[in-house]
Amino acid sequence: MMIYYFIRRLGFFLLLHLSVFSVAQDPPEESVFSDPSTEFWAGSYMNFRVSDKFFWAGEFHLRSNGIEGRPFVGYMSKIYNRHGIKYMFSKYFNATAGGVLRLNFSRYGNEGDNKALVLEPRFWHEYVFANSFDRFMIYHRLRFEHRWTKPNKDDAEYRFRNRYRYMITAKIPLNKKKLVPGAYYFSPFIELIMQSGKSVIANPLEDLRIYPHFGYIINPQYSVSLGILYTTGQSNALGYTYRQRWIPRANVYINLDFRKQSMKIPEINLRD
Amino acid sequence: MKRLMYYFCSVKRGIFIPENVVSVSLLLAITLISLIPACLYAQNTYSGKYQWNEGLSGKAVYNYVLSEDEKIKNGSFLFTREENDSLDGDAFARITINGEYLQNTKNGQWGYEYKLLFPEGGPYIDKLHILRNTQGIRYGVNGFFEKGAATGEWSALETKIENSRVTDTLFYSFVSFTKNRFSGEVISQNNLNQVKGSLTQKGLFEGEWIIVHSDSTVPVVEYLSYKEGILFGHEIKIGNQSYTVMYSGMDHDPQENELWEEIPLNNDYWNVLYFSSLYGKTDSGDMLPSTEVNDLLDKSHDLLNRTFSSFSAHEGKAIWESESPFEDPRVKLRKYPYSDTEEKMIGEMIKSFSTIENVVHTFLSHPQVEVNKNSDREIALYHQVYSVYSEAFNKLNKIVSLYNNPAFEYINRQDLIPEIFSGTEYPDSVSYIFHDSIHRVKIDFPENLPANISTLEELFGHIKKLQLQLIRHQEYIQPIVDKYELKTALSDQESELIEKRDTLIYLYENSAMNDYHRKLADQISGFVKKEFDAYTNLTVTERLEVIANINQCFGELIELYSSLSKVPSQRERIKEIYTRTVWNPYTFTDMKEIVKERIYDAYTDILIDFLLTDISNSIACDKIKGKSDNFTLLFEKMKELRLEDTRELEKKLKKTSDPREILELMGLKFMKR
Repeated sequence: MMIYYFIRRLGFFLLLHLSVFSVAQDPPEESVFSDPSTEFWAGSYMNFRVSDKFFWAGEFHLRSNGIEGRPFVGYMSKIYNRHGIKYMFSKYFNATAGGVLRLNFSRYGNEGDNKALVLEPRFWHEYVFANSFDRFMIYHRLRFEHRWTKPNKDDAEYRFRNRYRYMITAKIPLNKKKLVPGAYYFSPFIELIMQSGKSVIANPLEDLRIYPHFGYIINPQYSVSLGILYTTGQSNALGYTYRQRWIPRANVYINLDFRKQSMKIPEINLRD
Repeated sequence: MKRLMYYFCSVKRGIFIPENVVSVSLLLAITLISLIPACLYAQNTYSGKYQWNEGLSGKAVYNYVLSEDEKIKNGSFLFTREENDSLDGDAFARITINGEYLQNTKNGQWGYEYKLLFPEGGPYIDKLHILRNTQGIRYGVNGFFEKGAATGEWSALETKIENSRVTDTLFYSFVSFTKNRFSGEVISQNNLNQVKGSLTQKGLFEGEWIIVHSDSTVPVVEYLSYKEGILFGHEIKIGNQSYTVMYSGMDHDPQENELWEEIPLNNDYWNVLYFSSLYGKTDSGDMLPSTEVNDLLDKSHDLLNRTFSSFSAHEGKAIWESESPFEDPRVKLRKYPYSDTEEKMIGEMIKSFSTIENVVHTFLSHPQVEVNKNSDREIALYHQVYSVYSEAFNKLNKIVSLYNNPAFEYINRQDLIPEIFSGTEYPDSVSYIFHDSIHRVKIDFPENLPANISTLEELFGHIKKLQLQLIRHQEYIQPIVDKYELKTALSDQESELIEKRDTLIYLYENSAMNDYHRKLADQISGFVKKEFDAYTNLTVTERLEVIANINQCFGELIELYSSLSKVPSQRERIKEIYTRTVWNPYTFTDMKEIVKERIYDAYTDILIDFLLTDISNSIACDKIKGKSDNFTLLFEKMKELRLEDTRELEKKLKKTSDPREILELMGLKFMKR
């Protein structure tokens, strides 16, 4: 029901905004792309198996923003905690639900009306499908987030928005035929993030993320990746203005199995 | 009548009680009492399974009376047994026994019939039956029993059946019985011979027994004259020639103070005849050799044996309830009993003679004697010496074997032995050929035993001397023979050793070796060559001592090669069982990973190398087997550990890379036997 509700709301707002554009006075002749900003994200993605079907899923990011003279790592802008319980329906479909608590830091600390730290909570749930091919995998992710955000200002109030995210990516092994330990892979990645909410008037397209990256599978438990993310999306103030970001990203992926030892012992091979 | 008896029996049981009249009661009581035995013996008929004797079961129908719950056969009896399952082809056999019992005792005419028939020709219809003709034999015995004892005239007859008709008589025997004992006239014939004679009332052979042998072109007739069971004359008439059979040692003239015994006409009696009959002789001095006399005795023996036994058994199976229902006909012989000392001497002599005969035979037939008698002077000499003994034994055996026969006690040994024993003839020296020249050596043989030995002590003493002499010879010659035997054995083992050495050199120098073989190849090849060279420098005696060990050692090195051949596959197998498939939630793929990695790494990176190094450091025959087995032990242990909870072990392995310590932690007692 929730999914249905949000999809309906998304459709409604897309329709609304299109009609607004069509009747707006003095529409700009073309979209305006602001100068790209830079960030750096370091993240860890964890899947800890707790039973045959359930996993604890966690993501932890440290994100920095660039400033003049110090691009990418100007100051620590966000600490991002995402947690959830993942249920594996099959090897090619799983769903996860949980919460996010993001810590947003002000570049200016508490100077003036700035507020050094603002918490941003979210509820989220996602559905991931995978397609297996002989030499690579393709993944589709639908992620829905319900978040409360506010700027790092003293008198700012939380505003509620919904995010609708669709991501398509692939993992293509480069030095091996399969995604196996020791494989380097290339992953093209595109994610479209739409949003809705009272405050979303002219900027339903929150973000379009293009993130090609390379990864290495160390073993079934650990993988790493490195890539650069380009994002663009409508700004809050003026819908025709698109902000841009270049974000190098470094990630580590950790998969651990916390099941009892006996459950991890494979079936006895009767070939002897 | 039966009903009437049942009625009175019921009365006896108290159902009917007469009243009032005493006299009537008394009369009735007397009547009832007189009927009790009749009630007790009420005649019944049994029909069902029946065990006629130990080896014959079938069905029987017979009348009986009950006495204290015991069936007393009384009246007619019929036993039948039919069989075809156990016979070859379509054969069908049937045994029928019928007769009369009186109070469980055979009384009256009895008959036994055995028919063995084979279908002949195809089936045909006769009235409302489908029939087939048969061929086969019919055997029947008929006679009369009186109170359980055979009495009167009896007959046994075997006929041939062809086309369902009797076409020939194969055997018959007509005899008479008196109280279960053969007596009176006896006539018997098979298809070759005929016998006719008579027995006294006591069952003793009496008068002239004529045996006609018709199996040769010239008719042969034997005349055996008996008086009260004693054979006093034996003539054989061949054509027109009459030979008197000369016996020696068999007395036919009883005197006082002599021991005479009546014995059944059994094998002992026939043996007495065989042993003591020397030859046949005509009045004009023509001789009939003892072999021909004995041949005739054989035939007579067979015929007479069947003449009497045919009434109690057929083809080795008892006809009547017991195996010996009748008293055998008897003969009378004088006995020359052995004293206790003689009995003891005979036992010992037979044992000694058998031993020395065996020694000589074993020596003469020994392959090493046969092979080396031309190349070894001692063996050539003793071959000749033992041949002399062998010849003497052939003569002595005639007498010793007689002493081993119970019949010999009925023969006057002093009379017979000089007739059949010519004495020993040991030479003073023996001649033998060696390297194409004749050599003569004086040998200390025992004194000769004369033909006319008068006592058993002489024979016994001679055999004891022979035994002592042979022991001395054996002590000298046997080690020589053994030496050749050992040399042969050594030769076989050396062939085996060379074969193993060549195998090892080939194995450790060929291109099919794996890395593990290669690591040890030089050391093992060098070791094999060194060991073999050392062996070749040994004396024969030393070689005999070590050959088995070296062979075993080389064999174990071959096994080591085999163990090393398995190591790659063992490693693969360990990798396989230490690899598990896990699902990676990040890539959505199954991935293989090595589990218990520290144990696995210890096996692949440390322990296998260690075992190889351990072998290459010191190759020694007494340790190869154990070191070779280490690979298998380790492999098996790795399989076990895969299934066990090894967290503690893995923690400990984190701290060490010493192979000996790892093996100990894994619970392996390191084998370096």
